[in-house]
Amino acid sequence: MAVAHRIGFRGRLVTVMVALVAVVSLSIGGLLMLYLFEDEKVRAKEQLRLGERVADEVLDRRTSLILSRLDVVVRDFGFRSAVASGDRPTADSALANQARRVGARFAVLLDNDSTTLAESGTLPDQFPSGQLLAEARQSGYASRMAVFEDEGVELIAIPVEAPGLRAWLIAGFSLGTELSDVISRLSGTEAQFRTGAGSEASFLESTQYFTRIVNLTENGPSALHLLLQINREASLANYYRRAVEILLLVSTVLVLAALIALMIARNMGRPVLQLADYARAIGDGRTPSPPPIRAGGELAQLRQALGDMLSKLRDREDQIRHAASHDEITGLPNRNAFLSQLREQFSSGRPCSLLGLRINDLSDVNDTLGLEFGDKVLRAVSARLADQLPDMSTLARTGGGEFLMMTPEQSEEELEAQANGLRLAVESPLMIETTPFSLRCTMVTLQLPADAMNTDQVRRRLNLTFEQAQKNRQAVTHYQPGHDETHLRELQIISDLHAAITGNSLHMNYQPKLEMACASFHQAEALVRWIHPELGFISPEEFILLAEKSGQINELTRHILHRVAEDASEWHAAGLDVGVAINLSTLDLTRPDLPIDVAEAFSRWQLPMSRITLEVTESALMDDPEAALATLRRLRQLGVTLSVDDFGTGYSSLSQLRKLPVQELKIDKSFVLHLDTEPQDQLIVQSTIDMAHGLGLRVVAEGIENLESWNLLRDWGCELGQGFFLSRPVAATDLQATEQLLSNRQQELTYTEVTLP
Amino acid sequence: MYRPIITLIIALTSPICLGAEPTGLTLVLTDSTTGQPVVNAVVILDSGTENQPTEAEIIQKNREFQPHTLVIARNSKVDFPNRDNTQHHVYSFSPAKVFDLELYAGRPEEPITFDQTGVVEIGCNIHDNMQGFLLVTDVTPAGYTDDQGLLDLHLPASADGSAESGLRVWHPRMTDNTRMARFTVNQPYPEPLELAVELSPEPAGGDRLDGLQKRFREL
Repeated sequence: MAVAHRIGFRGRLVTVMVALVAVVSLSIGGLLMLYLFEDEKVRAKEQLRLGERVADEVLDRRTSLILSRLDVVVRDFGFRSAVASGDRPTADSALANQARRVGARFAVLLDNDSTTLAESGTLPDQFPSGQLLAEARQSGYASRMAVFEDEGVELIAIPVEAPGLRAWLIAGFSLGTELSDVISRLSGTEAQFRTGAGSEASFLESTQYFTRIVNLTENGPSALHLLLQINREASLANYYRRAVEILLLVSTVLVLAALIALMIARNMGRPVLQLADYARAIGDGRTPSPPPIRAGGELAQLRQALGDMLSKLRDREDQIRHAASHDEITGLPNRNAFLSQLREQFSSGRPCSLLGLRINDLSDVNDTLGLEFGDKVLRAVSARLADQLPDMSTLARTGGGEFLMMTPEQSEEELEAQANGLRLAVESPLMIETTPFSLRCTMVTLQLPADAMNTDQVRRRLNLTFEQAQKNRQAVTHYQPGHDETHLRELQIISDLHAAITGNSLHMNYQPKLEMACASFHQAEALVRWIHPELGFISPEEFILLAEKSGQINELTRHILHRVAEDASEWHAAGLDVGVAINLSTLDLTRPDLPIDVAEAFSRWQLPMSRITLEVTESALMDDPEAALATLRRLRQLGVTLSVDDFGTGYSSLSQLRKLPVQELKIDKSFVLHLDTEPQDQLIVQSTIDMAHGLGLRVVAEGIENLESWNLLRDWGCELGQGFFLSRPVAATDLQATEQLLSNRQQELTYTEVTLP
Repeated sequence: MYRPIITLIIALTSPICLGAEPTGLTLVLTDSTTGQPVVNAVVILDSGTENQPTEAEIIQKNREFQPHTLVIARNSKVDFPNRDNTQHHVYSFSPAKVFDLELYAGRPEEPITFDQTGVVEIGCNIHDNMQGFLLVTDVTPAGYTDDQGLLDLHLPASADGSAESGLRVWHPRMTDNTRMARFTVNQPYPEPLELAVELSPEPAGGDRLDGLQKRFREL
């Protein structure tokens, strides 16, 4: 990480600097080379132009020289005499002699009619004597360049004029290497004569030569040129040498730039890295000393800023830590601080005692006397607790009016005594703003680790114990082992019930109700059963109560209604003429939607609606009579039969009973179970039946255990009977068989023992 | 280059009608290159009177031949006395008379006899600028053209008007001054008779080579 940073920073700096230097120096170098190159070209062109001028001059001077010589020749009297002698051999030899003197390659002497008077050397075939002579007559002499046998030749015509002698001397002079050497030497270029087709360009540039072509004759297939060349090798070598020098210079500059950049990067980077380490150390929560930085300016400012940051961080951390671990009203440690202490205690393995205190009705104090007053109360309570507690103990405010204390291990008795002492101290009258004030509180105690193994358990069991204490109105309550396990079981049941409902894993059983008069299977009471995968069989009393507590009862009832309707439609389809009875919970009655649920569940009910009986407990009717009454009326409008369940156990007023729209009373099985042997029960049951009949209600007896009870009830005019003597609850699929069994017992059940009077 | 038409005339065989009066006319001689009149040109008619041999001399004085041009009859003797204080080497390569008077002062040993007709150009081997001409003819010249290039001539005429007459013209500045320019004119003669010869421009004086070299200097 640090290395990457280091490389990154230096690398960037070096890259930028070197790139900058490289761009600048390469641009300059490149421009320089370009100018050098162009300069060389310009110089070469200039030199070639000079060469051309020199060549012109040299050629002209040569022509002039030759003319002078020839002029002397044609004035030579001997030569003239030889020519005038008319003797051809004499003339030829004289001409040859003179040609040798002037260094002509060939010479010829023509008279005015172009007749040859004498010749020397081999004359070329095509000899432009006519043109030459015309030009010479015009200007007194003529000179022109020509090509003979692929060789450049300068032809010069000059008149021979002597008294009585009129002739023309034409002489040809080779343009040889001596001449081109002279031109080369004078002009500093390489000159050579060349014959052949000329090129249009007067200046040519190749990799080896700059060339200037001077046309000496008119252009044609065999023209004569003077080639002036400048060998570029030397200048190119020079050029390349300079390029190499410039490259070396650039490389040196680049290396220097890189070194300087590295040094700067190091000088800048080291303090930056030190500051980074410093900041990292601050971030890790250490308290490092700031690195020494020689350089001033921004880095020093940064160091200063980091230092300031460190101290401010410390301050803020302290504030946060304090705020996080303390209660701002009392200044005591808060719940988190207490729990972390508890955790340490657990991990140390030392046993200790735990006390909890809750101020009763703190919210009332806040509401009536104001929050500030409530805060003062809390501060006073915390001060008293702190006074009372021995050293080596911890006090924390863990909630609204809740204080927790941890003391070194004590025995049960000592703990109880201490709890009572604390309670008395808190409950003794307080003076708050000259207002005498006394409050009540609830105390709980736990022994650790006996009563709880970890903080979660501690929290849960404390709460449970507080709940229990408030329920039982005890001043000091010690946690009862096992209480928490029950609570956990209830929690599990509550949490699994929904899954059981949606997963259809509740079972419905049906217990037959018989018409007592004719012992016919009239109705089946629906009973819900739940086999929990972990907890096993759970009694309906338990989970229905928990469903009511957790607000799942409506869902459960709706589920049961649908299940029963489905099962019944199946047995109706099988030809079984049996109605259903369903128990409603207390909470169901307070729900206006219940009649809608019932109507919806039994929308496809084939029997009369009166064959659906809804059983309501007495106590449910007494809890909220108005709401229950309204619901019952609406249920009654559906046409269902309403029955009061567990009659005789609740303290229902009979006047209330008179107003209810019920058609049936169901005597609680506690009166029926031992009906055959308990005369008191017989009295109660018989009078209840009479009373119900007086009110126009039918009676159902449940819990019939034997034939004697059955017979007694039948004799008293009880309409419906239900009990293990008749049938246990069975699954919906077994109802058919049960009906068969019951019809087989019809004789037994309708038999009346004739008693002698 | 102007070339005169040469018509071979054998004068002796040409019939001459004595009965006819010669026709008088004016010859106008111009320079064909410039159109200027040619002054002091020698005009010789074929029908002219025969010339008798004489003795004459051309003296060298002030490095000049005097006279510059001498018209003489064939077989005349010409002496070349030297009146200068330098010696001269007078000579000619002209086909009409090739002679060579080696360096001398005073009078040469003997005069030179010009026994062929034609133009004889003479020069001095020591002084290139010295130039002279001898016209050796059998016929007396009809005359010399005046400042306007005019000369009155009398050409032979015949009664039937079919006469033709030859005439020769020479001027030292003619481009080909090695021979005489020859013309043939037919009756009826034009009036004036306009003839033209080609002249070289007058030398500006000075040496020829100096001119050449001057031209090179100017390059």
